Amino acid sequence: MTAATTTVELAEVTKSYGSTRALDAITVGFGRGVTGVLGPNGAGKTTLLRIVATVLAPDSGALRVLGEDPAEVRGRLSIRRRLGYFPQEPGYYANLTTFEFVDYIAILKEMTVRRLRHDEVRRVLAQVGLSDATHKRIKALSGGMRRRVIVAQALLGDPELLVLDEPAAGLDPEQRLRFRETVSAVAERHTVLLSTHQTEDVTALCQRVVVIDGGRILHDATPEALVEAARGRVWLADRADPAARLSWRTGTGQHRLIGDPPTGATLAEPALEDAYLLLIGRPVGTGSDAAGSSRGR
Amino acid sequence: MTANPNWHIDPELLAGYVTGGLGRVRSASVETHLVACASCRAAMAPLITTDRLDSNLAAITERVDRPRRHLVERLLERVGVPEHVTRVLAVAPTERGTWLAGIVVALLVAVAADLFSGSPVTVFAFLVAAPLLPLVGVTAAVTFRQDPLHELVAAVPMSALKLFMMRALVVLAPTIAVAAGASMLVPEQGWEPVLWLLPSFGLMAATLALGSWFPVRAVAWTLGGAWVLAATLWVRGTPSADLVGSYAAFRPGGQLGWLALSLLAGFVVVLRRDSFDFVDLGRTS
Repeated sequence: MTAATTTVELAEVTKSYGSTRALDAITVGFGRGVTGVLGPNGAGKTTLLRIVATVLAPDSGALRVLGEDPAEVRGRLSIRRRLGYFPQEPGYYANLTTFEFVDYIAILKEMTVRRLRHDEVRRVLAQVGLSDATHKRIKALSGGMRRRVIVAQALLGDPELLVLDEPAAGLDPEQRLRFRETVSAVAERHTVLLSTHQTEDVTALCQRVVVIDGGRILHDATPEALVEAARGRVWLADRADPAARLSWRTGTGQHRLIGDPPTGATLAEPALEDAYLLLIGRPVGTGSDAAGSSRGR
Repeated sequence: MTANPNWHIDPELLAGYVTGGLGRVRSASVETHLVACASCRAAMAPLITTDRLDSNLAAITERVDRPRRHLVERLLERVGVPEHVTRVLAVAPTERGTWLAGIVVALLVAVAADLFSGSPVTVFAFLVAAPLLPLVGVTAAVTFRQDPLHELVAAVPMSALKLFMMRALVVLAPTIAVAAGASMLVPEQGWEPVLWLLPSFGLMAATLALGSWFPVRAVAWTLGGAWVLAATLWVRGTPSADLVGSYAAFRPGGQLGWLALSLLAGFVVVLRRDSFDFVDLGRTS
């Protein structure tokens, strides 16, 4: 990645909640395309995304987003005008219709001319496939449709930077596919930062994957490079091996083992999930430590 | 089903109709014929440009999509408040019903107390309790955590203070209207029923000003508590006939003091508007 295409830069960024360090002197840059942020619960993913989305100030470190400093009022305003944000726990006004809800956010995004704003609302609702649910109240929508409403508001104004915190959680396979289409279309021109638990999303969507745990970056490369790092360390065997770092019984009845070669096992083609597990040393989606569950919430 | 008429509109006339070049009367008679004649409708179809169809469709879609608007919203628009502002006011999550009911009840108590020459203690209690209702409302309006969208809203370009102020307005406007109504119901009492208004503004403004340094809710509890405590101490040491008339906060000097406090605190809020921005969710949740 060259400096010219870097739109978000963090240098030695640290953030603590009380005595818990959520981000520990992180230095990283993001550019055009989709960057996946992968990590267990409490790893610091949400803290990282909140800081980039200007809703949280870091304790220390330098930060530039879209060429601006979010610590300055003017810089922050300029960033927010070019930002689309999907928070980890988006709220809703359940009594509003889909259209009214997105229209309200559009007003807060300074779209004051009604006719143009309504056109933009229709555009983003069509983009996430909600044109038929325009006049349904949010409380009548399924969980997956509600998440699409939040994706729609993030797309308002064609933002240069999309920050999406676990947007695909709870989507069914068809909705997930549509979501990937939407995001990849945006990422052709803009920067997308996507946090997820789902290694399949990363494989399908991301040009780059950043693995974080305990507030530190463990890995930063293409998904392919991450997979390559696990080559020679993923095995298939007929029985479990207590010496393996991680192992589980697959649907075929064979055991998938990660780590040093067990006796009588054959090498398997590694997947992104294997590489991730090897890196983290525990399954996806489990907390890093006792304090982890309170972090990033 | 009517059969096609045995005569048809000549092409020139039809073209005139499509471009809107005929007068009202001739257009109407062409229209009457078109309704009955399928072949003339078919002849007209290619004359209509897609641009025109598109703009018609867009106008209809816009009409259908346009959010339902409350009566108050329409009235505000009528007097020149921009549409995007009235929308925000209409959507503002401030638990309107609850506090409005509270204010109405409190004012009714006051009016009843006055009308039936009730005890001055009731009137005093009302004047002390009344400012707390809008204080609660405004605190709710500016406390991010009460808004289900708090984190989404934190990332939008509209300034947090501007949004707070709009929401606070939703609380204050009906409060003042109801208070004014109550004072008209008891004209012989003069300004007594509205003596709580300036203390109310003072408490709200001071809460916002201090809220730029400390958590707004804690400040509201502290100031509201101090206000009630001071009044309670006053009640204990004062003959009931003098309760309202002699209480410093309700005397002209005190009222001027509240006005000054409101203005000063308002100034501080404007100066410190940026501190209402970043929401430190980690600390609060």
